[in-house]
Amino acid sequence: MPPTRIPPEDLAYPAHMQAISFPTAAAQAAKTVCDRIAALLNEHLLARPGLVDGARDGWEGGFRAEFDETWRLQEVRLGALKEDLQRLSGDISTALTNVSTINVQRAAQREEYRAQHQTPTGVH
Amino acid sequence: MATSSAKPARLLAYREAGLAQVEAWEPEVGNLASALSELRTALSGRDLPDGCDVTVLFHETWFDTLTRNQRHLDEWVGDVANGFVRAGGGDPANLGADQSFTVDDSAISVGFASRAESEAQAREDAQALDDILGEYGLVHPYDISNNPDLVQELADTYPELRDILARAQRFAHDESYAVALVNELGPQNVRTMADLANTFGIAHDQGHIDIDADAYDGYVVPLAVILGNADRSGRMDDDVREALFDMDATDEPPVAGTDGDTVSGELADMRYRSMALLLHAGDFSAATTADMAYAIMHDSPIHPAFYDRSGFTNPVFLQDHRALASNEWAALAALERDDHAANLFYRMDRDEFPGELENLFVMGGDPGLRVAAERLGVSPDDLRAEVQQTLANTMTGGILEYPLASGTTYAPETVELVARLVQAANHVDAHDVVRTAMAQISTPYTLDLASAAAGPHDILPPVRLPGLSDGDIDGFFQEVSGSEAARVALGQNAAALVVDQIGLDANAIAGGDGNAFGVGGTLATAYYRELGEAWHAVQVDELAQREALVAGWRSFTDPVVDLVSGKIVEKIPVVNVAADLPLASNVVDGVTGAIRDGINSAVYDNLIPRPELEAMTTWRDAIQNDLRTVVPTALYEDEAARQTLLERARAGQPALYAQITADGEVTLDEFMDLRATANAAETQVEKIVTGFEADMAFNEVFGEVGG
Repeated sequence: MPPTRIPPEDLAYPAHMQAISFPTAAAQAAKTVCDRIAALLNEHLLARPGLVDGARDGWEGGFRAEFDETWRLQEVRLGALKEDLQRLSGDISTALTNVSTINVQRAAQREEYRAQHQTPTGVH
Repeated sequence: MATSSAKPARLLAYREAGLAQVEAWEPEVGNLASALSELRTALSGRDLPDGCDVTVLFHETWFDTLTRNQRHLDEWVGDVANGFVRAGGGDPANLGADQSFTVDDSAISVGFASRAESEAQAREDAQALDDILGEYGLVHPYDISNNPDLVQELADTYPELRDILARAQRFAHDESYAVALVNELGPQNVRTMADLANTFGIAHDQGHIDIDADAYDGYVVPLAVILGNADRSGRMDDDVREALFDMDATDEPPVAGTDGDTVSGELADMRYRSMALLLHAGDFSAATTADMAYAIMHDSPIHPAFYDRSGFTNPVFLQDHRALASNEWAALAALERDDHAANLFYRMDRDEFPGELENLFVMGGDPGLRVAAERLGVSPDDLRAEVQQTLANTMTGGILEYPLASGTTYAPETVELVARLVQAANHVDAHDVVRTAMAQISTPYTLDLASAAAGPHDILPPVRLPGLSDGDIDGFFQEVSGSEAARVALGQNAAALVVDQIGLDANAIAGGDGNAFGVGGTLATAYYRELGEAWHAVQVDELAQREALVAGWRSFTDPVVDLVSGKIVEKIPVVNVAADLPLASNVVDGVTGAIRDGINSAVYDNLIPRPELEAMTTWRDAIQNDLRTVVPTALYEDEAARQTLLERARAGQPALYAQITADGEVTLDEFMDLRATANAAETQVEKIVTGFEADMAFNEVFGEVGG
């Protein structure tokens, strides 16, 4: 009588061998949005100095000073936001990669575990 | 004094380009919020190993803040540009790219470049207003009459409020400021400030506020500007907006708990008057303008209560603000300024008859006319044309011009609106200027009306106006034809229809194709038939009305005795013709004392002249003459048809041809002189005229009226 194969899901694997459950779809969607907005901000921040220079042409006085100060802060903040979004996108990528790597390792561990615990007659 | 210089065109270019960027960011704010929120929820509660967890901060909130800041800054630059132009006396419509202005800083009124600073200023101003308003709520109608000290006390707060509002108005174009101010004030304070618009009006009318202080320009206008800007930003809190529409004052101190029924009419007058004042002075969003107009036109009392608690109704004040003479007229004037609002207003369907657009029936009324006439001290008849013109302008603006400007002339919502207007026209007796407006509104749908009038047929173009019966179309043309100017407009529509249709078949007509202009001829015939029948019906109706009136007068026991005693004058609507009455000595036979025969007829004919009817033959001849210009014009405008007919003239009338082409160009008049043109045109003219004569049951109609 040939040995009975035990379906992998029927085995009680140790916790450290269990596959990690990760919200991949939500993470991918968030990463896509972060990347898109960061690229948009990057493109617009590159274009802004040209726009600002155009406005400043011949502009002098108190209102110009108020504009300069407000834009200076805004530019710094927008740049920081762009970097934050890029960082978050990177974190998500890293997490996705790590989850994938770990899950591959754990799959191998489970295979080994199953082989060790396989008997000709049935469930161990 | 500090001065500033700038090239406003450069600043405006920055604003436009900057806002284009911001408009790309704005939808992404929501996308980021949704994506990050979903990820946060999905990650929550999971026990992930090191390196697999993700910390998701609230970047969407920060992105939202920075996007709003950037919009604020870019719009502020635009405000500064406009400030330079205004202060420097420039022409905004004709601004040179390098045109430079140098002005005093104090001459430019704008908010702060920083949104945070604008909102901080708004909070500070809201607190200052709250400190004053805290003690005041609604004024009880009883106190307005019997407690002059209280009214005076309130009037004394006016200068303080005016000063804060004057400061606030400096930031009038800053939506961030305006919305922060009203939201910080909250619904109760905003309601109180709205009520004060009317209260200051009463104080103004009663002399408690110096008339030179101008409480309207000093209080109502700035308040309305701030509320309008906040409203247009789309970020006004819902409860604040609801407070502006709260027309029930019976639950508010000091009225609450008292017998509200006895003063409910006066309270309603006060609240609706406040709304009318703010609507008239402000520039609210189209939706809010339409909603306010609806509230005033439908829900407000038809006439003020016996003690009229409406402020700013002093005749001297109203001379400079005529539309404020009644709330309804003010509402119409606001719709007249905003075509989009008028469009929304006429499309509203909120009453108990779904599918019937109730606001269209305003065109058969005299909204607010009587009250306005009373307050202005004029007769309603003398004011009617002015009010009706405002009404007519709201119709053309909302139903014709807004769809044209927004490219929605044939959109489903517009054709539905126009179709319902055609139906409603059948049920109203409108003023002539309104009838003219209806005719103008129908212009883009001339083809549809012609096709509908011609009846269903596969070869005719589809009718885009849904749900119209033959009776609806007949009734529309008949109502509109009551106005001479409207008849002219419809005649122009007919001519344009002929030009279009001739243009479609110009080649075939020029080529002598006897079957050409089949569809066009059918459409033109049907449209002219509608015009002819409508005009005929209007004239018959005028006759019938006159005969009915005369018959009514004949029913008096002895009208001549009334005439002799002079009492008949009171029964005659046109009083000023009394001077033209036959002399009493000519009425009674001096010998027998009997009343002369035929005197009744003389009286009636004198007082109600028989209308001078235009014979249908005269009307037909006029149309025929018009067509004899319209058809050749259409053939002339078609290059191929023109060449074909010129070639025929060269063969048939060589001398004339040589003469008219000698200078290298052929004018329309010269073209019309050609026999080939005249023959081609006359065939089509006869087709139309013969067609509508036959359709109109020519003999019967011409026998009845023309004879």
